[in-house]
Amino acid sequence: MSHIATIKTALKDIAAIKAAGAEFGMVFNENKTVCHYYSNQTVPSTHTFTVNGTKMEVGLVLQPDGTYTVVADDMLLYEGNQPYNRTRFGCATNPLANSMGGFMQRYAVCKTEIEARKKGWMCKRVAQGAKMQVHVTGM
Amino acid sequence: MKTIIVTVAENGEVEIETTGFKGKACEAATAALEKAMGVKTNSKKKPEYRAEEKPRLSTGN
Repeated sequence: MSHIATIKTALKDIAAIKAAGAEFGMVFNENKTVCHYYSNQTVPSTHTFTVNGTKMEVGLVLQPDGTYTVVADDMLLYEGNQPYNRTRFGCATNPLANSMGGFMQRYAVCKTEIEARKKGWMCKRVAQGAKMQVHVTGM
Repeated sequence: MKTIIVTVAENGEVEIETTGFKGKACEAATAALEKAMGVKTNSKKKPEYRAEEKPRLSTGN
């Protein structure tokens, strides 16, 4: 090993954002500037995701520095035993995970694969418990 | 074999490790990836980082 770098992930690549959302079964709505959340309320957004099983959406808001922040109803963001999460997503816990951590994780994996393939490198996903690894070779 | 291992934690934090590189080649290989992922918060050099080829001394003979 030569070096280890730690990176705080920033959402800035729409292609990787789309790919990560697709892995959660979410449908990307480009340039949808109104994000719906609980009880037909809305919040401004740049793009949104339609979330399977609910009318509520996950919104992406472009910031001046070129990164995106996520806006969504608490129901979509918090992991736990709340029955509404199970109902909304049809599974035991919110797949997006606490504060969208699961989405950030998947985004980072997708972004790594996109960047590696731009250089003609090969990628292989390897599960490491709750962590996800991408092994990049071919350089 | 040169390999870049990207480990992503549950909160999305990324750790990028390189294996099989010697010297600064590892940094050149990962620089674009590190920049693309977000903001670098820490970087540690491994012993191999200093295993650059030593310049050959010329005796002039």
